[in-house]
Amino acid sequence: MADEERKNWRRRLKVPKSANKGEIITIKTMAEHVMEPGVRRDPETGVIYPKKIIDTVICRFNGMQIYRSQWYSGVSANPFMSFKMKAITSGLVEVEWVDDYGQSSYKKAVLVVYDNDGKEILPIKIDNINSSKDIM
Amino acid sequence: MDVRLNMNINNKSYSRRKVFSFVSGFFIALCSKSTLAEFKAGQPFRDRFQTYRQTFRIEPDPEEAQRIVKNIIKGREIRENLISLKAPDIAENGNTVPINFSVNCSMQKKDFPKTVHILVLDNPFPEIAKFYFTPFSGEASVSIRIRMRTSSNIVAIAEMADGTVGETKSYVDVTIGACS
Repeated sequence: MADEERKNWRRRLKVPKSANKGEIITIKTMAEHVMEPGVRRDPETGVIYPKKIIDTVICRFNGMQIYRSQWYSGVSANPFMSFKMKAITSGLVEVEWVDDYGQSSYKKAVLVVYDNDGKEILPIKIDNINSSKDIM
Repeated sequence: MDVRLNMNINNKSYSRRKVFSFVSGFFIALCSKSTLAEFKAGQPFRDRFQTYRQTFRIEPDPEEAQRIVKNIIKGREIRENLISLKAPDIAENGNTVPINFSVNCSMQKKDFPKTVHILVLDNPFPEIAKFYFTPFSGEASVSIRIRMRTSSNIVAIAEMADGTVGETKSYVDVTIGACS
């Protein structure tokens, strides 16, 4: 039983480590989850398994929401999803899975974006004079 | 988001008459609402069953699905060649049918899809997923795996930010259906 419960919490996220500026990258996500639709019965006892699905999947880049999807019971078990993102600056990619019961789990990855000259584009501009000044 | 009924009534704090009057009034309001504005509202009809933990096996109703599609489009003109849907012609297992859609647009100001709906018309619960995009996602294309009970049409509807709508269909033959 403990192993079955633990299966519902395995998440996978695949983001390319580096990209050029303006490139469109694909993000692949996979959650190991039963996605119980609430219709299936136990063959011996006839009791309906209660519904338990992943409701929403949110993708954030540097804390800003760039993509969201809402799922119903029609999505298959162990749901795989891949979507696109435009690489502008390097930063943190976070994907969050929210359950039907409100339980959430997330996974994060770092994306590094290079300029045409081969320099890294940082999300924060750093002045040489005033180093504490941050401009997005 | 979903509409969920939360009835938290403490019987101890209220008198019986008060509780009865409240409950009866609530049901009258519910009935009148459901009869008057059942299908006019944007909330699809079958979505109400989805909020329960135990949903009983009900038979698919394509007319309901058509009503849901009607509620999404709302009489707007359908743009051609806006959204393209890739799905297999024959799916052996209905539990995992891989599909992929992409929207033809430059993801600039007001030329991006706000929401993309995916529906399977012969499923008991035809709504499968909604996708919300922003201009930061450089291309509106998503691939996902879905469940299908019988062989039927998959419908993808894209609602753009400026209010225009695109729609495509593709027919999939399913040999062994899923139980959703």
